[in-house]
Formats: sequence, structure tokens, C-alpha cells
Amino acid sequence: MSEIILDIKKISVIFNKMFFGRSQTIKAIDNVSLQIFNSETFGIVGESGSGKSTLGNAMIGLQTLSSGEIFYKEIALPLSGTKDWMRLRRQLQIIFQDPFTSLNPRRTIGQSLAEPIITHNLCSKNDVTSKVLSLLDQVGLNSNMAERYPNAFSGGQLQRICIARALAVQPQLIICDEITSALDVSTQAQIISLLKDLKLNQDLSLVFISHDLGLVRNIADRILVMYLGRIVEIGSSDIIFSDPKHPYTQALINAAPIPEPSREAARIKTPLFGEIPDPQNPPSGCFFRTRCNQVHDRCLIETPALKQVKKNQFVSCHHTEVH
Amino acid sequence: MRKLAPYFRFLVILWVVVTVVFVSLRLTPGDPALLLLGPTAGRQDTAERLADIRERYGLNRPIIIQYGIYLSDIVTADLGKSNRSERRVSELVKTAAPVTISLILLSMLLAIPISIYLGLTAAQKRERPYDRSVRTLATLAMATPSFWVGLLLVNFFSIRLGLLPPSGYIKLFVDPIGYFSHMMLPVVTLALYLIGTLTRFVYTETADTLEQDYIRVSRAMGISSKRILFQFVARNSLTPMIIIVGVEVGTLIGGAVIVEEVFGLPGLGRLLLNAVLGRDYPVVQGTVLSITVVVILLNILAEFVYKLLNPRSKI
Amino acid sequence: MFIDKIKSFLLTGTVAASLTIAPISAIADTQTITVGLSGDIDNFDPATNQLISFQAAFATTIFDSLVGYDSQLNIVPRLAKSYNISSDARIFKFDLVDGASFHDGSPVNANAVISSLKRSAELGGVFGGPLQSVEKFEAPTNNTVKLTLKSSYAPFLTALTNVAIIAPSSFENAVSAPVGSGPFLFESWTPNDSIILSRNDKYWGEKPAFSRLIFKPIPDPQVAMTNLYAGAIDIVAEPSTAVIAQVDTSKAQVIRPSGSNSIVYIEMMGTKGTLANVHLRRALAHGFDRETIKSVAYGGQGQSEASPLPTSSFVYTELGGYPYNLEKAREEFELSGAPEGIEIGLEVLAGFPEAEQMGRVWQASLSKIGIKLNVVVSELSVWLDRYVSRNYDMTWNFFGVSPDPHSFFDVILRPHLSGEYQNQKVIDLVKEGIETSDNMKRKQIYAELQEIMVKDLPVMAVQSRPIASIANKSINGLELNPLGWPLYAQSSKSN
Repeated sequence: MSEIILDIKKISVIFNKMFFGRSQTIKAIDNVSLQIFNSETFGIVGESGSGKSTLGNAMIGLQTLSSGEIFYKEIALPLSGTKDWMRLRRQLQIIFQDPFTSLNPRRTIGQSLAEPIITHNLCSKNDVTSKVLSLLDQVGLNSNMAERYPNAFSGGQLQRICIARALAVQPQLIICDEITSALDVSTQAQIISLLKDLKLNQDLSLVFISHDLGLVRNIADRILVMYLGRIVEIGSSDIIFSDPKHPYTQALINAAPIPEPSREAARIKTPLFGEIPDPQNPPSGCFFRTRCNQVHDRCLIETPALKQVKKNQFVSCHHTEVH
Repeated sequence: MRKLAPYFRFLVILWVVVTVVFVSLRLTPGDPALLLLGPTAGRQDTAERLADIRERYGLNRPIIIQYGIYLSDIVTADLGKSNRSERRVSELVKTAAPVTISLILLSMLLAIPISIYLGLTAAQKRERPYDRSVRTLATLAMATPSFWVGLLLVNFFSIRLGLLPPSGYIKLFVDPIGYFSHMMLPVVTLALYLIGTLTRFVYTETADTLEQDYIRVSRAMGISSKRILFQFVARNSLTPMIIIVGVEVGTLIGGAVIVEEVFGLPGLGRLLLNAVLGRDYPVVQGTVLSITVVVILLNILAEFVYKLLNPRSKI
Repeated sequence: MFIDKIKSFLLTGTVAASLTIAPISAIADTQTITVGLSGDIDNFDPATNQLISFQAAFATTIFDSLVGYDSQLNIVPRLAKSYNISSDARIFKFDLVDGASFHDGSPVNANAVISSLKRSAELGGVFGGPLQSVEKFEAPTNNTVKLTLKSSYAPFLTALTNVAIIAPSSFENAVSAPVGSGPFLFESWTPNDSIILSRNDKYWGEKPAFSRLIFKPIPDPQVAMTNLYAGAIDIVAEPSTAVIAQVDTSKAQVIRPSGSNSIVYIEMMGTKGTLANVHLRRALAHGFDRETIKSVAYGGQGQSEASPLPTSSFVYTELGGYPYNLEKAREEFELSGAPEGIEIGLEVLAGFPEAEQMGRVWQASLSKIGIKLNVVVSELSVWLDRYVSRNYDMTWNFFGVSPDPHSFFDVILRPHLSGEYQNQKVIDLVKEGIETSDNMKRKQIYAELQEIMVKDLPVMAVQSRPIASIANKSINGLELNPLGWPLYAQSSKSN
């Protein structure tokens, strides 16, 4: 395997909220460890509330950690505002779900794209404009669009601009947080293929966060499945899709429609029943036990540890040991 | 034609205001002629004088005629004469307007930067003690009656410290230092209310903007948090404030009535209040008309500035 | 860029703040006396402005009259240095002082005085009304005015104290630019801000010790008091009853007249006719707890008597009246035949909290005998509308009774006599009262009238209003007459 660029070590994120004078605790990320490798595309899947977006924010240092550490190429991610923070900014970028809110409505596209270039002194002042135009070109947009304000664009175009802005600093890693969920299906496909193209041309890692398994399968080399802030299953995309070990992963894959009518018809649907539990008051033992169809006594008491089951597959489920 | 539409709207608003004031004055009990004569107006020997007064001020004409005369006078820019002091209404308004306008403008000048600073910084330090105290104080400032605040300030600065005059007004061009020392307490009183409202507004807008993805992206880009707060956030959350300030002018004129009363300022608020109590129809009508024109013009100005600062709103 | 704007804003603020920290300078000046009035004055014509506060402020400052009052309400010479009254009180002769002139420089001579008096007669009203009985205005010499009345009119001299003599040149513009001959001349009026008078250096009499007299309208009594304590004004001219009781005497002095001729009344005979039955009026009077009302509403001050005339009047008669007695009230109520639970309205003028308090006490007492009293507080214009049309069950009112008892019957009772209270005996007595010049005979006449007033109760006297001015300790020699007029011209100010 290639070089580790992001090493996440036992991180937890706990939110304390005051609600009518009572303090409530939510563990958004619970003791998660993983690595992101150079040039890979890493998918994170999970239902909403699974902590995947918090994890994405944490990966680039936008989220204060309650415990644990994250290292970028063996440098601990610094706190926001410190001197080191600025240095790492170039390397780690994020693109958010909603392209309409991701761009400052009061600045032209050109201004928004120029901002990171100027902040990081990436080229001489005279070259900023040409740099901006080449970024637009890179994401397949017309150069005359630089003068316009975000409200003149469609969602797909805006998301391309967001991608262009992320690329502007030539980062090592881009977190794509649900970047296609606000777009219609055909636009989604265009954005995915754009990302694939860009990756071919650059030495870039992507973390692709989505609740859509189909999309993740399409793009990701490795996949992480999250449930209530914990890792359920992690491993290579091919293995997980062909042989999911965790009941939750199995259910997710079963629930995802297959874009091929004959196979879709033959698919055995084992629907995921119930609702995701209240994160303030999670179940004891295995968090998934309230919705699991193979629940055991042990699942009620003991939290399953993440265990390797194959070369590129780790699962946290008591059943994997029985298998 | 479409270009003329706003002006037409402006005229319609004016007409409605003028008419509503005219009608409501006549519907309010209280006879201006009786008020002029006082309690002895009922005596037989004053009946003739009562008739004289009615004749002199045109109060004996049918209401519809009075209305017609009033409208035609407005069209010829004649606001008439006071029923009581017989001074020209335009003159009364002209003396009183600078007091109220400078009171409001100075209050804004004081309140706006303070509110911006408090609102921005409090939103950034969300849920910390600083933020909570700012928000509590803002609510307090909004909820405390100006009348009380005014008396409190007078008690402290004028009676205890003997630093500032408790009331009265001196024209700016007559004695600038006297002007500012007399305006200080009224301006602070009115500004306090405004600081309350505006701080809360800036706070909510800023808190909203700070949650926006583009702000988080900017942080991820490595743009300094100062620059983010005072450049992006401030610009985005403050532009709507222009509109709010425009709207607040109306409220401020209401507040000015009380502040003028407490500090004995001869402004539009007191002119209007006393004219209403004295049923001085021409003065009430003229003052309301003038205030309306000013409020409308300021709101048009606010809209214009807003459009200038906010190029994406295309109307 | 934006932060720079904020900085420049803040900077402007600081400059403004540093400019304002200047000490109050206006008041150290002993040549200026500033008086807080409870309302603005917008009509300066003494013939038409009948407001008490107008008279109190200007009758002895801007204006002069032929005769005036001293601080005890004795009639004293003013523009008339001496006068002569015929024994039948029909011919009044006045010798004018020498060297008096109006503020416009024109002399105060017999012709000027006569044209001013004639103008007042034409304009009528409370002040000019009595002059309508003058048959002949004559100027035997340049300095003598002779007035011949149609018939005897005993209160005429008292009536003249209310008639200001103004310069003939000012008749047209008297509303906005009054020209009198008093110790102060009218300089300017800024609406809602100030009325400025300055010393008349050509005044024929004793000139005031200070050069400027400024009146400032300050409607709110609390605001007026803070201004007084802060030294922005020197005198609060017409403090409300409640304010007088709260004065911090370590900071200010309360100046009271020798007595109060300002009497509070309940007028009980409106056009609604609710109280047409005298027994019902008596029931109300027996239910009126004078002691409690005096202590609750008037802070224990003033004199609560049955007679409608002030105790200082030379015709005042002490009468038993209607002591607070709910048993008797109930008896009278039954006699009246009015239904149990009858609702009676009491109109009260806003801005007189003590009047409302009085109403509340009365209301509580009357509720015990089955009368529901509704206290209606209205602002002046509304109250006045009902007062003038007498469209009420009962109304509160007060009046400064002049030293001549006729003023009460002329101003307060007259509308009732021509309206719901038709009593020929009273009409005759009132007529006799003004036509009789002998004081002993007048005493008898007015004693009878007072008795009838108490018996019939067209108007019930409540009590005398405590009146006072509040002044800073630097004000010396200020006196009030029993009508509540501060005699500004004789006062002075020290450091």
C-alpha cells in the first residue's frame, strides 16, 4: 500500500448541548481509528446521524476533538487559528453538500476562486485571473462565468465551482461531504465522472461521504460503514460489496437498488426495520442490536471490537467470530 | 411606466396617510374651538366668539369641503396655520424637525457601530459568558422604557455628577458644545433602545451566516477568522441591517416623542403630541405629513443603498 | 475595509463624547430665573387665553392691569395709582400712574386704556364679560379713565384685576406678540421649548432684580422635579398635589400662599338629568368621606368645608353640610326613589391623579349603599367637550375664587342656573349680590346663597386645593397669592 497521509487515532467527538437548562451529551464519534492513503478514494457511508459528516469535518481540523489525535503525514492536526493551521490549510480541503450555501452570495465566482489563491500566495498577483480561468476550465465551465454571482448558476455548476475552489490550493486531500445529494441524478453522474477525471490527473486523495451506497461503490477504493458514531465495517470496496459481513452493511447493500432491472428484480430485500436510536440515549452493548435480525444475549452487554476478518476487511460484530 | 410605479406608490401612501389622519382627527372627540375658549365656552356671552373661532379656522364648513381645501392646500405645498398660535405649520415643522432628525441620526450613529461590534463578537463567541451577557443586556435595553432610562440618566449625570444638562435644546450653529451637551443624554437614551434591537438583529444574522457552509469552507481555506468575521460575515449579515434601520426610523420617531418629553426637546414628537392634545388640526396634519415624507424617503434611500451593496438582488 | 469604517464611526463617537463633557453653565447666572410650567402656552392674548397657568405666569409679568392683587389678594393700585367708586358702584374713576409706557414705547394714557378695555369687552368671556356692563367709557383728562356702568356692579373692581391692558398697536397680533406695560417684556416663544421674557428697563414701578425670566414647558412632574434638583430650572410653578408632598426639602423650598382660594367642586347637574332628584345628590354627599379623601388624595392638606366659597372670603359662612354617614346616605337614597345599583358617572380630567383618587374613595363608599360610581378620566379636549355641553352625570372641576364671592356664581354656577338647576330665588339673590355695594348687606345675601347651595347641591364643594410652587434655595422673596399666582417680579436669585 502507498503512503498514509491521514492517520486518525482513537478520536471521539462529544457534543454538549444545553436544552432547557439540562445538559445533554451526544457522542457523535466514538473512538474511531482509521487511515487514509495517498491517492485513494475513501468512501464513508451511513444513515444521517451516523457521525459521518462530523468525521469528515474532523479529518480536516474543522471539528474540535474530545479525545484522540489526527496526524497529517505524521504532523498532528493543529488547532484552528494557530500558525501551523495555516500551513496545513493548503493540503486539506472540504466540499459541502449544498452548493448554494457554499459560495458567498455577495462575491463573484471569480472573487471566490481568487480568495484561496491570494490567501496562500500561490501565484503572482498578475496571474491570479488566468489561474482562476484555468480552474474554471478544469471543471468544465466557461471563462465568462467568473464575473457572475452565485445566483446565476445551477446547482451542478455551483458544485463544479466548489470543486474548482477546492482544487485551487492543490490539496492532498479533499473531503467531499454529500456533494451530490443536492443534485439531480444526471448531474450527479457528471460530478462523479468529473471527480474521477480530476483524480486521474492529480496526486490527490478523496474522502467521499454519502448515504448513497451506489455512488460510493462507483467511486471508492475503500469503504467505511458508520453507525451511531462507531465503525461498523471497513475494507476494500470490492470485498465489502461482494461479501458484507456486518448485518447492518448487509441490510444497507440489500436496500440499495441495483441499476439493472433483471438483477434488481431478483434481489432479496431484507429491509432494515426500525429507526436509528436516539443518539443521546444509545442502546447498551452493540449499538445496532435494536435493529439487528441476529441479535444475541452477548450483543446486549458487550460492545463488539473491530476485528479483521479478511485481508482488507474489518468488522465489529460478535457474529463474525462465530463464522 | 414601470419606472414611475414607485413614485406612484409613494403618492398613494401619502394620500392614505393624509386621509387617515384627517378622518381620525375629526372622529376623535374634542372640539378645537371649545379648547381655545376653555371651560367658559358654554356661556351665552361667548357663543359669538365660539362662532368667530369656527369661522376663522374654517371649522364650521362641512367636513368634505374641509377635506377638499386641505388636499388642494397640500398640492400647493401649503400646510396652513396653527389653530392655536396662528403660526405657519411649515414654520413650526421647520423649527422642530432638525431637533428630531438630529436626535435620530446621532442615536443611529452611536447605536449602529456598537450594535455591529457587539452582535458580531457575541455571535462568534456563541454560548460563552460574553455572548450570554451581551444578549441579556440587549434584551434588557430593548425592554426598558425610555422614560425610565432617561430619568435615570438625568439623575446620575445631571443631579449626582452635575456633568450634563438635564433638559433643553441649543441649536448646533449657535453653540456646538452646548448642542452636544444637551443632546448627549437624549441620544444615549434613544440609542440604548436601538442598540438592543440592532444587536439582536446583527447577532442572529451573524450566527446564521457563521453556520453557512461558505464560511466553513473559508476557514478550511485558511482565511483568518478576523477576516472572515469582519469581511465576509459582517458584509453578509449587515446588508440586511440597512433595511432594518430604515424600518426602525418609524419606531424611533415614536421613541423620540418620549425622549423629547423627558428631555424637554422642542422636536416633532412634542409638537405632534401637544397638537393632538390641543386638537390643533393643521399642526397634526402637517406634522404627520412631514414625518411620513421623511420616513418614506429614508426607506427609499435604505432600499437604494441595499441594492447598491447587494448586487445579487435584482428587482 | 469594513473594520476601518467601524473605527471611524467609533472615533466620531469619541469626539462627540469629549465635546459634551462641558459643565452646565446656564444656571449659575443670578440674572436669569427659569420656571417650569406644566404645559406650553401658545396664545399670548390676555383677552382670550383664560388658562389659569397663563394668568399665573403673565398677569403680573408682561401685563399690568388697572388694579391688581397683593400676596393676600387685597386689591392694590397698579396702572391706576388711585381710584374712586361711586356709592352705588356705578361710576368708577381711575387716575393713571405717571410715566407708564407700553413695551412698544407708546404711553399708557386714558385713550389707550379705554381702547384696550373696549377690546376685552368685545371679546367677552370670563374676563371681558363684566366690561360689557360698561355704558360709557370716558377720558376726562389724558390721565383719567371714567367708566359708567349700566347698573350697579359691586364685583367690578375685582373683575378689573383680570383685565390686562395691552398696547393698541398689538391688538392684531396679541396671540403671538403681546405688548403690555408690565415689568417684563415678551421676547420670544419657541414652541415646546421656552418662553423668554426680559426686564422692562423702562418700567414705571419697581424694576425686578433680575434681567431674564424664562418659562419652560415640562409636562411631566417627575421630569420637572429632576430638572429643579439638577438646577436646570429654578422654580416649578404648578406642581401637582402628589409632587408637593414628595419634595426633598434639603434641596428645595416649598412656597405656599397664605391660603388657597382654589376650590375643588363636584358639579352635579348635567343635561343627562341623572341627579335631578335632590335626595340622590344628598345621598352622594353623605357618602363622601371628606376626612379620608383629604388624607388620601390631598395628603392631609387644604380645608374641607361645605360652603363653595373659600374660608378667606369676607362672606364665608360655616355650614354643617353633609357629614360622612352611610346610614343617612342610604335614607336619602331611598327617599330619592332611584333604583338600587344605579350607575352614576364622574368625569375627571387627566393629569390630576388626586381627583381620580378622590373618585376611588367615593366609589368604595357609595358601593356600600348600592350606588355604582363610574370614574371616567379623560384628556382635556374630551373632558371639556362634555363639560361645556354639560353632558355628564357629575363632573369634577376646580376654580380659583376671586376675593369677590360673585366669581363662583358667575363662572361655576351660572351654566347650571340657565340649565337644569332653575331656581328663581338663587337668580334673584345673585343679581342682588352684584347690585349691592354695602358689604354688610352683601354678607347676608351670600350667606343665604351659600346655605341654598349646600341645601340644593347643584354643586358640591370638595375642599381647597393645596397650592404651592417649588423653588431652589437660591430663590428669595418669591410669594404666591391664594389663587396660586407666583409673584415673580418681586423675587430674586442669589448664588
